[in-house]
Amino acid sequence: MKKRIYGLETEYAVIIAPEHNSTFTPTRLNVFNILREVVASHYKVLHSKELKQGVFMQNGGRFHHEACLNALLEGVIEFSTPECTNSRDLAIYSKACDEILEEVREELQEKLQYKGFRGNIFFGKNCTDKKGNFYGTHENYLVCDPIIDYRRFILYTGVTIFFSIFIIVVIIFNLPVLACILVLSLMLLLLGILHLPLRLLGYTSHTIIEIGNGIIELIKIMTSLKPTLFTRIFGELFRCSTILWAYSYGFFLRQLVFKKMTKFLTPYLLTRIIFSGSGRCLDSLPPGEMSKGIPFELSQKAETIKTVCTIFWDDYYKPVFSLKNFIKNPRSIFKSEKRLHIMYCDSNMNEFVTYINTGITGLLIRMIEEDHSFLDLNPKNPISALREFSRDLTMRKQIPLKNGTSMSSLEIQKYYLGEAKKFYSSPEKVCEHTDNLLHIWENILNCLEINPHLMYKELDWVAKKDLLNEVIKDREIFFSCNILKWFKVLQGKFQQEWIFMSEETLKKEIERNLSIWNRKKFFAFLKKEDLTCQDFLEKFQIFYQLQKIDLKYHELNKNEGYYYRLAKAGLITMLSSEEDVTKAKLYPPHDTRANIRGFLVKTLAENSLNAVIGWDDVIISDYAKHIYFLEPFEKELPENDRNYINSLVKMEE
Amino acid sequence: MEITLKEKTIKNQEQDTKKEIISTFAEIINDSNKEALKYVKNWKAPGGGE
Repeated sequence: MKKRIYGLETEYAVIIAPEHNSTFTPTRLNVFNILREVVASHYKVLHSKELKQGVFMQNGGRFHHEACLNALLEGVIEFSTPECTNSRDLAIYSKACDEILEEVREELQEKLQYKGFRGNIFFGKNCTDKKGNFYGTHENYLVCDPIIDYRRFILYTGVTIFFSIFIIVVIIFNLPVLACILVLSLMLLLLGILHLPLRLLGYTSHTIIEIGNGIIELIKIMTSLKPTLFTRIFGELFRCSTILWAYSYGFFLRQLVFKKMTKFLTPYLLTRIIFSGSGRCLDSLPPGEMSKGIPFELSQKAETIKTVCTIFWDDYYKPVFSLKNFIKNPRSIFKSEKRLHIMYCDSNMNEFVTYINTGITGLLIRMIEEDHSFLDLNPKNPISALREFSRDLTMRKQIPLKNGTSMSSLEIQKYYLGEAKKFYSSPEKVCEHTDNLLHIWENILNCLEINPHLMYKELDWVAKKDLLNEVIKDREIFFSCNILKWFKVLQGKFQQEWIFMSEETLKKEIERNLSIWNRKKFFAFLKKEDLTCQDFLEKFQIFYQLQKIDLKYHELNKNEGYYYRLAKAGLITMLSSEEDVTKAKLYPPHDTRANIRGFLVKTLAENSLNAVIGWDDVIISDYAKHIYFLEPFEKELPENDRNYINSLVKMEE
Repeated sequence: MEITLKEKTIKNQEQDTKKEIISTFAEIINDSNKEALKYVKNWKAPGGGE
């Protein structure tokens, strides 16, 4: 069977919960820097040669700090698995990343305590913080997508034109900044030249000194400002000036690469959330909507997806497939084997979901590569369809398709399952791994059709929904879109102890904490919805209890996180043993180039050789040696390179 | 997963009524009620990824 490379990038939220007596609150970048030190004291690591201050680990994976340009000191911690050849290994390496973070957490906290921090630090593996920030997991697959000759010519010409335009745009954008720096430097120089002779002559020109002082003050103000402000301004300027270019380049690429992949994989990716979604307790509803019971959707990231395929350039315009890696590495456009980057993927706590999710995607990719004929089941409007699929817990809502018919998420999944069973029924294509995946897929779809609760041990969203249901039990509870809006408005002002106050005291507290305008609006809203303050607070408390479950399910702390508590009670189907995960923390997969990277990291770090490493090369600075390992399935270094490394080790000894 | 649907349904039903399962759920629900608002407020990922 044809081999494939699988990779997963997971972003973890860093939760900083300081106590009252804390004299220091670290930024997420501070946390990352200390985390890097702590991880380096447990595992062999080598600095990444790319930006983002990352390190590669002895298991061939990488972790780095990831932040938007407008908040460089904050952000998330991203772990990338090493290249794996199957989804089982991938799920285990992903689990190993979770465990590494949890393993070093206490030591990290102790180090922060020395700096004056009092409180808790923990990591979350989910996709949203309920404050408008989204993060999560991306999947990568090495797929065969050859370029036909005439397209190759168009691509060469197009890429050259687009990159020339990019350089011009960047230069134009930078001109005002460069001009400002130049003018300031010239002014300083002029001032220096004029100032000294005048002072020597005993003549002080008031104007010159005033200007000089003014410039010095200006520089002082600029340097005292938070760097985030600068990065925010320049980040926004850069984004605005290049956004049009990015989307037109994305449009151009879309006509030539991954055409088949995006066409036939999209309906599957939009509907696989029925088993791969990690579930989300909603904190807002569309105008006029009312939720009977828990406001819940299957996928945490459905709301953020705005298009099917483009270059991911702008946080507000996230695609299902991102073509961004073609900017970083334009040469790869012309290769027949390309990296397919799927951005739309929920972070899963349950490694079993990661296994089936990526495994089935791998099976379908192979079918598309081998020109299996699929029906075009793309929805008429894929983005609004995705929202509908995510909100439809029955999985039976009919969504209009481009071909004029309509289908539900469950029906689309069953169609793909049927096609996969046909394709993999031939003896030369079937293997134990494929057979197992198809069997599980079928079983999941059948269970979901009868009663999703049957899958509580296997699927994240089902396990979470069961917990949330336990809060509501048999109570009838409604949340209107307006009440959710007020929850958000009042979140910052409300205190936990208010829940136990009498109606009168409560009213007084609310009056004291709200502006006149908001107070009027709030009481008018209560009257309209026929609620007392006490009713409102009761709902408020239930709502935040639900939200807490929604978040704490994803906490990586093994004693605290709800997923781990369920796992401890035997309520989660485990894919890997402890031994598998321990092995994945220490050793790279043996069947990809990650094996070479792991060997290099371990050997060079052990012998304290000064080197930086990337996904496909290493630079040993002490000896000015550059070694490449470009082939993804290359397991060992060529003999001469291996001998060279061994000789370096001997010299160091 | 090498079991039939019927077997799975029965197995799940048996599991649901086990004492330790009920107590785990009760523990979680009890914990989720403690300082829920504070917990949600603390869960922040500014400048977060992608």
